[in-house]
Amino acid sequence: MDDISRARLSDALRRTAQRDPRAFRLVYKMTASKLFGICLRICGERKAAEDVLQDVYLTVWTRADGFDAARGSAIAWLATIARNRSIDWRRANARPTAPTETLEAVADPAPLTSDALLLDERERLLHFCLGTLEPNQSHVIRTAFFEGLTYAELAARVAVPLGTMKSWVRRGLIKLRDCLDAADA
Amino acid sequence: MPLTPDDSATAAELALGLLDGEERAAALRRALDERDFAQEVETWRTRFAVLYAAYPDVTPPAWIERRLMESTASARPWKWAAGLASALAASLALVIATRIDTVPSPAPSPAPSREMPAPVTFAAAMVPANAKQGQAFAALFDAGRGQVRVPTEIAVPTNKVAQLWRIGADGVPHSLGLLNATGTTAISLSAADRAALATGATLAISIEPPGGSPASTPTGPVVATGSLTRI
Repeated sequence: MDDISRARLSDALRRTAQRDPRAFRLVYKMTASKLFGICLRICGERKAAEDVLQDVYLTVWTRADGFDAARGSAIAWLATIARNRSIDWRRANARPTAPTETLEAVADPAPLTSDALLLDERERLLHFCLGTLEPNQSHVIRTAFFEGLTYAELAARVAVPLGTMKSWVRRGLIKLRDCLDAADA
Repeated sequence: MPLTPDDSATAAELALGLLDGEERAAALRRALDERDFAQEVETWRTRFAVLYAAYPDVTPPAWIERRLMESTASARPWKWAAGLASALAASLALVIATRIDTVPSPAPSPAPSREMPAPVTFAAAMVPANAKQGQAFAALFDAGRGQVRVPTEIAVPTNKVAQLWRIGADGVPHSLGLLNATGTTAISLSAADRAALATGATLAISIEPPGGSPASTPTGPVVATGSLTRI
């Protein structure tokens, strides 16, 4: 999303908070396919993802005044609602974790090279720092984010003991923070 | 005291949603009590937010847009409450981060013994409909005692009362009772209400005439809503 689109979206969200249906439609048009991608990935089934997506936008319509541009981008605010809402649905419906997979078999959502060219500096930095971790650490952190899994679900997914999973993730997170902080300093 | 790397990792775990059960409850309590920890959760959330760009775009079916646009043209206030953000409650820490000093932290409970099932508590971050009516506050549902507890945080006009409702997936409000003018109100719930809250519901507070709404649904404005999430 370029700077102009970001500004348009931020403005449309502000007007949505004042109950402007046209602004709400614009927010939907600009973001629905991204948010549906998130719902689909986390819910894992189309019907549920459609219901959750509706819920997400109802939330946006009633709660757009909760968006604070000083605290983050509009798309991040919307995507966070979509992710949390989808996680709520999956946990409430007690989805069994997918059959045991090997680490390699889980699709890795690392961006393709062409996308990587479009990333802004902060995105590049995060991907760079994730790349400095052990492959298993970076893999499970990405999977936790993209699929919204708990430790228990992650451990079942890649068939390692819970304690092992926690230690991979925690060591990875500490290393990730060091890398990000070093780059900021 | 500055956060240790371990503290930061715990904040990241909460931000990612890795924790459940007692670990999640403990981390949420820290976010309530410690401003630095809450800030660290927020920092991690922002860091990971850049990953949203990597989700693939998928075009949703056209009926969703049609239905949303119809709804926004003809909504009754309480209908909306049902669609409200459990996202807000799920990321309780986000709300908490903005008002650490005003949300009372839950009293420490004795560690559950091996024989006793762990107490099940649900919390809702109640968000006022109008920012002028104050900040978000926490309502708790203690499934063990079958009791919902709501602090008086909403200004109620003279000769009016605040009434608590639960709204399920069908969007129909059911009264849970009236709130005291001051202090915290504890309401003991019927079996049906307990079951409904345990499967996740939205709580809503409306302003009603003395004695409560004369109808089976709110008659006055809905002044705060929040979705219950297990903590």
